[in-house]
Amino acid sequence: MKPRVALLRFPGVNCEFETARALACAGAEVTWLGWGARLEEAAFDGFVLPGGFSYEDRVRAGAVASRSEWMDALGRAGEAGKPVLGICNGAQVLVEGGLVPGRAGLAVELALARNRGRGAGGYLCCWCFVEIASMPGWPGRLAGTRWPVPVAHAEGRFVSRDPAVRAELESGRLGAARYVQPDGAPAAGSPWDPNGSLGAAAGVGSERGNVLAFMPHPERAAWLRQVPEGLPGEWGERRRGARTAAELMSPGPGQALLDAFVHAAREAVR
Amino acid sequence: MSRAPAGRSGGEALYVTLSVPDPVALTALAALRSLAGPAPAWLERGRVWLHTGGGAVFEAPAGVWLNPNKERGVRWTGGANPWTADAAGGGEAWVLVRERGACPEAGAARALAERGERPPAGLTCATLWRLGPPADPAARGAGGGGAADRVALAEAAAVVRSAHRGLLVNPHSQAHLSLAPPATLAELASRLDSLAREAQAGG
Repeated sequence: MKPRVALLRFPGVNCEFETARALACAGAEVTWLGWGARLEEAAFDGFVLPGGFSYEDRVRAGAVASRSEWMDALGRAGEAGKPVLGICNGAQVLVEGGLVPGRAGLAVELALARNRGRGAGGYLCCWCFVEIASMPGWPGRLAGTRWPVPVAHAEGRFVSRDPAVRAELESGRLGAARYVQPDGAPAAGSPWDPNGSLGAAAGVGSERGNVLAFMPHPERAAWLRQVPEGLPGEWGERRRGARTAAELMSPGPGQALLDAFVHAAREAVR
Repeated sequence: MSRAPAGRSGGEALYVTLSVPDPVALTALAALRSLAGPAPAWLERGRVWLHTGGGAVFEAPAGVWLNPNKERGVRWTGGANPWTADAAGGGEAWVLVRERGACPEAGAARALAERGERPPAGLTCATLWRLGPPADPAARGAGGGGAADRVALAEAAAVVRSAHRGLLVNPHSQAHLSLAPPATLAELASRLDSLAREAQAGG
């Protein structure tokens, strides 16, 4: 039986097609839920908030969507241990709604502030490298892996005013994924650290690890053909060496994250 | 652009809003009404510029300080606050907001430099949210809508604490001040100065 994954479309979302396609390739039965539809968390085994500009980023990116009725259902699903993935704008919604880190009664402990890295600022669309941290939950299946993935955002800098949360971010204990250089060395400034996130965090998970706010776009790296030929490292070499349509349509670096998500949703079915 | 009576307090300020109903404020108001607790009866969003460096840089604001095709401005050069109906019992509250660590004045300085003009000294700006008092008088606070009640209501409506509380300000990335509308330009200047310091310290 295929795991049932709900794809939540707030008005202004624009990455739902490619996200649904990549989830389906990972083995999920994807149901699109449009703005205003009722979300019954019991009817699904996993939940994905795709990227885009929900509500035109009015007030702040993700802020208005995070006040939607869907958030209560997502909170209950997270409590129940079901996998929840927010990609880019979806990550901003999860942060503004307090689902990550999701402690202390879903208090909002973080913000995704405007990009302000060393040598970079404002909206940025480029390929970066991320390394997945050792953590509980489904993203932890990929712990230690390092792969290229595109980012496209203006507000992707994880920050907090809470000293304890800041310390956790800076030390890397809270980050589920961090930006690194292609060889795995810490990303210090542009181009490999696109936004100046504390601890170079690219994603932050909930304490149990089943809810993940991930700023890069794995669905834009789901096929090898999407990888730029000029990218350094193993994936760039693979792309340059691909000669046939079958090779170009083989899984790309971002597919592993979506595979891990769908695997977790499948386990939730059992 | 309308203009407040000129005064001798020194400095000038400009409040810029959209000429048409602001979709951001309308969406924010709808979201606030869906949250627990009293919601403002109305909500307006604008940009406040303060200049304390001498001269009258906001006298002809079109081009740098506002886009005359879609925005309008009200200048305050002294006397009573021309941006609020409080004198007529409006009872509104204000929330001033700045991104932590940001320098929003830099954009205006660049625009002036491109025109060959020297950026004025003593410039500060912030986003201003104006919150109308709750329609239900019983929701206006124990003090019947006094300054302390207004600040408390603005704080509750504005500052994000959880998915069910607050919307306009995420304190992790934004500095803010909740206040009753300042009566004088000097008070506005003092408040904006505090806000800018707080935003810079927390960058």
